[in-house]
Amino acid sequence: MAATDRLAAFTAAALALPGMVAAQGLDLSPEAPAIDSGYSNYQESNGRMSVQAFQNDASLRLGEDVNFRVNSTLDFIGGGSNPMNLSQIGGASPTFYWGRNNNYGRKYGELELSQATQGPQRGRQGGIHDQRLAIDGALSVALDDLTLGVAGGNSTEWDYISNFFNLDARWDINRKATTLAAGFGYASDTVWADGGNQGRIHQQYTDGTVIGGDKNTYQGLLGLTQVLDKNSLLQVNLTVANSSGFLSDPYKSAWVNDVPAVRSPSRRSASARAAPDMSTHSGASGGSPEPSPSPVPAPDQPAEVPATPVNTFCRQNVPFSFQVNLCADTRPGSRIQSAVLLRYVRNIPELDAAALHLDYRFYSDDWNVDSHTFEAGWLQPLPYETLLTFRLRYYTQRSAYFYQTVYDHPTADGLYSSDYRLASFGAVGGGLQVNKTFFGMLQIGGGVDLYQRTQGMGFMGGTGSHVDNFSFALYSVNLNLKF
Amino acid sequence: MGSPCHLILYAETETEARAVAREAIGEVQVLEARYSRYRPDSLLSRINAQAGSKTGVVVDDEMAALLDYARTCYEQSDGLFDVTSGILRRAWNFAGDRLPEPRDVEALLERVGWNKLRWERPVLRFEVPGMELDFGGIGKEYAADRAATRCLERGITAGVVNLGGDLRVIGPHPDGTAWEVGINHPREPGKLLATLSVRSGAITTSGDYERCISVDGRRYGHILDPRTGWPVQGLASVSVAASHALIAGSACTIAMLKASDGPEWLRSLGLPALWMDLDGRIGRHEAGPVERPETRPL
Repeated sequence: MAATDRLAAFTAAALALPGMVAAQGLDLSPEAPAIDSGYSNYQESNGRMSVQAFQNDASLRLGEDVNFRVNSTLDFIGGGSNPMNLSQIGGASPTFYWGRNNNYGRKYGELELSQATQGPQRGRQGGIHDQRLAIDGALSVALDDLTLGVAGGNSTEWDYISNFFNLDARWDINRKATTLAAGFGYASDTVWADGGNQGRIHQQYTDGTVIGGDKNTYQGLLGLTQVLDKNSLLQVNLTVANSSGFLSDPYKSAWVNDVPAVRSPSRRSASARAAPDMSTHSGASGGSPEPSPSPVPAPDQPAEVPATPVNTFCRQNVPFSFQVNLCADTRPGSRIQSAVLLRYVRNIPELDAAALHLDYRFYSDDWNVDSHTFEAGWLQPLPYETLLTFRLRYYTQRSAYFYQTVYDHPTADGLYSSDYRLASFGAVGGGLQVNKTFFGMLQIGGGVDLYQRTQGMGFMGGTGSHVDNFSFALYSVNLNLKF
Repeated sequence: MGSPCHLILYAETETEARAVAREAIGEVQVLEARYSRYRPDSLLSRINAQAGSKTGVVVDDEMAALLDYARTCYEQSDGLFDVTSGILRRAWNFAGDRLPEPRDVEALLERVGWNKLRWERPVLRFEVPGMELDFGGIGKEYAADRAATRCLERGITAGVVNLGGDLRVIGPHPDGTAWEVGINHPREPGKLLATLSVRSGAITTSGDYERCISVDGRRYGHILDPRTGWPVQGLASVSVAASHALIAGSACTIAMLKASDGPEWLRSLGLPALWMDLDGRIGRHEAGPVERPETRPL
């Protein structure tokens, strides 16, 4: 027998025993003290939106087993052109981009995952402007195999305030080969439509009530991480969230065909209807909106048309009140969301400690939005302490049950949303990042992420519009200092 | 463990060093409680008591992996390394000065032999009543590795675990220098046969001098041939270096069992080794075709 075979037999049998190899390469240890700084520049296609984000994180170990971390983010949002421009509204399905929010500043991988839960941005003629300051802190304490954490924070924008806290626990068992995690989170948010003066003026519906409201979200998490062998691990996370309150987008509206005629609130119903002329409307709703086509009055009431048309079947946002066919974005008052994440990580020592990440995520909510996410990542260490990261991702989702690109009739349940984030679509994304370490403690990196959303790319069914197709590029640089 | 044990480690603070040492020693104590043949309440004693039944006994993953390792040793040693041979110690009293009656040894041999047990994961069954497993030559070495692993997982990168001469290095001194390990001379107490430098891995030694009986000028060591029931004669001492104390330890024992064929077997293994035969000749083998043991992903 060859020497290598004999030794290989002993080695394989020895390594099959538990506790023969330290769990290395798989980062299960508490965070080391570090400072992270980042700058991101987000550019959406057609100049619809641009965001610059500055991020600073610091973590610090207090004593032996206590870790404290503070994050702050400052974003500036700008739009190069009016987001509601002709190029996006053409055709028979007008869609309105006032206050679109792409959850900018995050990795594209999280883009849709928190859709319709983030603060909207103010749409104005001439562009979008807002700023966001977010601060949060987290404290974790390690007690032998148990790590307990508490975190809280605040995020403030001109039209959105969020206060949140999280409790989480992590328990290492089975000689750290198995980690159980549980978490609970609560967020109390307030959202409104910025009517000027940096959000101090709140917009109103045509019926005089203020647009917006409070939203409460409870979230629970259960996780299991299993080290399969010294080079691979499997992770399963289950997340459930229950939101209630104002879940609509305060800036968005939906277009409804075939609406009842508008009349003075004091008068009897008219039989004639506004006959929307889509092409005329589309052309008119560019940078300088014009009043809607006048309702056709009944012959016997020529002088009773009110100055401000009022719908009886839906609420209208003030900026759109001239449009009888527009209904304010109105969603159910509660939402139960659940998601399961499966993650496989494999280190490949033969390829200079390269690592493969494979993620699959299934998401489902009681608005009938289901989605699948597939993501693969490759981390390749290169000479001179350089790390190359490559990621590829595919996403597909079904539309919400009340979503319509255009509503043919007023709805019985009074729900309206043409928010592209609730539509049916597919998306692909990819990115490349390079990091280089200097002196073993300073890491400088840069990267680019590209994203393309395409109506026909999904396979989950439902309705959507190709008008909502868009792409973005996210450029980022980051600096990390570890002590 | 029945022999002097040492744990040397470098840590930032004394508190940390004590905390990690407590855990590492705990590892060793847990394994001793599980696999000691001297404790009637040990897991090993329970399994020995139950494996003789018709249905056998279902063992846990750790015991299963140990049995797999034992089978590897049996196969790689052509049947000389046999975890069922410990029962022969009932006839041999190495603390005394008398040889056993040959017929007592004969009687015990009927209960010795890996081929007399059925090991089909996870069920172990003895085909001959009264058989016993004994993890001598594996248990202590495995414990040294486990203690070292625990230290590494707790962030200790410099230190040594020494369980009765089975030495497992956690990592070199903080300045990167190797540990100097002295190998006792098997015939001249207090003298060293060699001094080896070890930066990582393990060194274990097996000899005929530590527990033995001398009768009529002849030395009877504690390493027994499972085929005859009598001590092997051929090598006075063998030291092997490997990635793990477990591998080094079983290699030493097999080389001793192979007697005069031991040096040749060590060459075929390809690990660095040092030995002395009964005539006092010292042999040495540097790392073979593979410089370091291959640690394949499982």
